[in-house]
Amino acid sequence: MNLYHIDYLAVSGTSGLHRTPAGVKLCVLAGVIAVLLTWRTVPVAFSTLGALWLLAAFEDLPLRTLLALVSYPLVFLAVLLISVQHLTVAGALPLVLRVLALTSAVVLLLLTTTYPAIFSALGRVLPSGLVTALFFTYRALFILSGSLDNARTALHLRAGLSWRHPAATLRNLGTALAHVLVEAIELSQRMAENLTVRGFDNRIYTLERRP
Amino acid sequence: MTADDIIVEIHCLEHTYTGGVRVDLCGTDFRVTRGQRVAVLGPNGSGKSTLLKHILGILQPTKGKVVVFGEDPARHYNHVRQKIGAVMQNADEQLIGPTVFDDIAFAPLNFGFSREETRTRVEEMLHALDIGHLRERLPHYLSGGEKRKVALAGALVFGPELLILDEPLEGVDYTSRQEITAFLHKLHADTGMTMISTMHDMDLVCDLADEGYIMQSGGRIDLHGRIVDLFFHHDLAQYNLAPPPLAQLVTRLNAHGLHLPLTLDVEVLAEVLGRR
Repeated sequence: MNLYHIDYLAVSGTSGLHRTPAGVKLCVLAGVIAVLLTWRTVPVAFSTLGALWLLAAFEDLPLRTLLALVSYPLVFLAVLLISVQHLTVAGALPLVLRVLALTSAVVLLLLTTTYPAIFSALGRVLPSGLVTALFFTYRALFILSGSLDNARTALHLRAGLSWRHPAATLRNLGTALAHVLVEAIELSQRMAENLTVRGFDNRIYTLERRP
Repeated sequence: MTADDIIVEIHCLEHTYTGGVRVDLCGTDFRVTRGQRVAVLGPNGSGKSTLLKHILGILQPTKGKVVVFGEDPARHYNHVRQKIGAVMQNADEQLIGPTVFDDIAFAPLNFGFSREETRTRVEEMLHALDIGHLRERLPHYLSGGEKRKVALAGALVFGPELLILDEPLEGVDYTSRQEITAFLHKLHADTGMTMISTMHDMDLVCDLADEGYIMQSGGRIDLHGRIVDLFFHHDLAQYNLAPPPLAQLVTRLNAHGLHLPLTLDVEVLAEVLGRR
């Protein structure tokens, strides 16, 4: 999934959810989290998940994209579930449904809200330093995904990725990741400099979306 | 010339980066007065960007003095930053808004302009740089030239007195280069805005600057003068720089006894040659 695509959908969408203020959507997200943490049952998780997907369908959001993004955390959840001893379907189902519901709520927010609007709304309730850190992290992800792609291509071109030599491949991947990490640190510094020059002082201001 | 006319003054600057890399910018004093267009030239790693970062107040000197608009920019950054617009080397890292419109509006909103005033100014910049059609586009999807134009719009939208350009046309295609150069020309002619730029393309230097400072590889500022004088009266090879083709042609023809005027203007040269 191309990260830029999320941005594109958030900016270019015209649905009712897109027009809803970011603050309201964040409150709904907080509500969803509270419900899922309070009532850890299958019916509640299933109803919440169903309601969110109905809303997405009603608002004509791209359901395939939603599904692709929601499925990412399931990979990690699967690893967790495999490690649990004597796992039953009844034990796993509430967990899977709750993760799906929570992820769906977060993805719906990201697909319908521009990132400065999210961080601007968060800035009203969270410490500005924390919001700035989150803002930088999110913005840097877009640039670093490009760096990761470049590193992967470079390894490919120089035969650094091969299923026949898993140990060497892992070593090469580690080196590439280390390179991207160093780049990330330098990037964050340059981004901070650029934003300082443009008057950024830990507050995020946004213009209302034009009709 | 009054003290107010001196926009930037740097004396014997030295900077040590974390990790111990030292950039010594001592040598000829660096001074830029109101309305000047100055180019900082030198080989890679000579400290051109370091110099610009000191002017912007991003770095604090280890030694030496930096004065911008009469203040130390590293200490009194809030006093001077609204007077300086900057386009840095990598436009990607400078663009922060989800759309071009939002990105250009970023600085004015930070500087406390009203939303209405911000909208008006952004519209003016979109029109001035002829990028109105990009208004709702996402910055990631723009071409290199378009990104530069958006970054330039974002740097000028709040009406700075000094414009800093770090390799402004690096990696930009021919058409966009011509458009951006023409825009900067007109901007200077109309407003007299002070400009400081670094660049490697010597043809561009002739278009975008009247004076130049040349730095050695270690960072020392060695030469200062009018661009024409720097290109015709100094051996730039020792600085890993080559004069633009026109300057090289005139120099070679003069070596053959043609006695042509030392000019970087093709029209002037054509007229002289035509008369002969």
